[in-house]
Amino acid sequence: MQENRNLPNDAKTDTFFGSRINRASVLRISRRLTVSVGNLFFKNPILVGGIILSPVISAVTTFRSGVAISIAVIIICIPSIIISELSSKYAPFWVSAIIGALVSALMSVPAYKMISPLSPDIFDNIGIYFPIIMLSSFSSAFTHNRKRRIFIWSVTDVVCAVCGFAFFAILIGSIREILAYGTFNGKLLGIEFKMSGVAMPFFGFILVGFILAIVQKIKNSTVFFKNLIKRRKEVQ
Amino acid sequence: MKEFLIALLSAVTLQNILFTRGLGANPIFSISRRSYKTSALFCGFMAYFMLSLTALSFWVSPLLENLHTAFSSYVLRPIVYLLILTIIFAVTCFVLSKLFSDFFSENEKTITSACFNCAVFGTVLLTLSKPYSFMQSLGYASGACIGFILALIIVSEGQRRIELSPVPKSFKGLPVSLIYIGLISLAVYGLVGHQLPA
Repeated sequence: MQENRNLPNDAKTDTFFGSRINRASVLRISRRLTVSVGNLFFKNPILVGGIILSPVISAVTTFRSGVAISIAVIIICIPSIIISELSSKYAPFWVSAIIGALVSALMSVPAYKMISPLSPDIFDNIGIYFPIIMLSSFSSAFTHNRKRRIFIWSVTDVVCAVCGFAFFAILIGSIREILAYGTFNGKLLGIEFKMSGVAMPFFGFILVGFILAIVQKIKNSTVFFKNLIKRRKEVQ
Repeated sequence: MKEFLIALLSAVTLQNILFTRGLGANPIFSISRRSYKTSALFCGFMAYFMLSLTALSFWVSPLLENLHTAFSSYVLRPIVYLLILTIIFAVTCFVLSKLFSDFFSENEKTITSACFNCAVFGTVLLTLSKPYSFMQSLGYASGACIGFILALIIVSEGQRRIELSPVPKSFKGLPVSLIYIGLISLAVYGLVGHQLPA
């Protein structure tokens, strides 16, 4: 209803191309979808609030580890965040956190099965940061907007945010692999100049800081993103 | 006692969970801007969960020693530790909600985030992956807590000073804080000692 308020009057009454679907609802859905897709960057768990940061800083040092962490986050976090958010409507906050923890623990089994074919030494590379994702998802859930929302949009937001995480994790992994080892996805690129320190966590902090600054610069300067922010504010 | 102190000092400085492993980055950012009371409460509960989980998991981990597969070390063991953490958390919340209901309702979110964060779980996983004795494990966990508090003080003071400085608009907020932590982390790595290739 709140979203309808910001729409022009004609949009509330007209039908969409003569069909039974109301034009207002089509506009509302398209606006809301734009907001959700915008969340890929603006509500990205890494880039807003530093959520799920530790695996990215310490474990994502290659393209493959970036892919592995992304798969783990997608499989573990999406169900646990959605279920803990659903349960928070009917149970106290601490109970929903426990439910989310148990769902995460359960989902770590299929995540392990999905990641292990990537590389034989993938778990040696990511180490303790794979199980840590089980609890990192709660950080995302806590910072998630806990206002009463339509379930489908809640799911869309979570999926978009996690996909945004995957995009940046793979980007960071690729940059670090090229700079630290002179390879990409394990293949030599013929680069002689290598900086082994790039694989250390301190460079992870610095690199994420710079990427975040670039995203903020784009967000502040581009007209498209300005309009997107305006639409997001309208919907919220 | 000597073992306890060595493990503690090592965890505070050379193996600081935030600066050397990036663990606890999310809670640091979420509580560094809050009041001293909330920060102290968060750190107190985090220490309680971390120490009790380390102690209980130390006694449970020998039961899982026969399972030497990658699945057991990366999935099964963490799930068991997570279940133990969940039980400790549930008992704590139940007792607090019954005995100190006002206090609990005020601080429910702080207590929950003090329990379910990567610093607590990561410390326990690191401690139990090393061939430590019981006292060493407790020393390492205590050191991790002290190291986290030290990191929190450094980061919140740094953020306060950065806010007063002329930082470019794009770097304001999280980016400059991350770069600041990265530079301190670099200094900590310098303490550990790295040699340049000849």
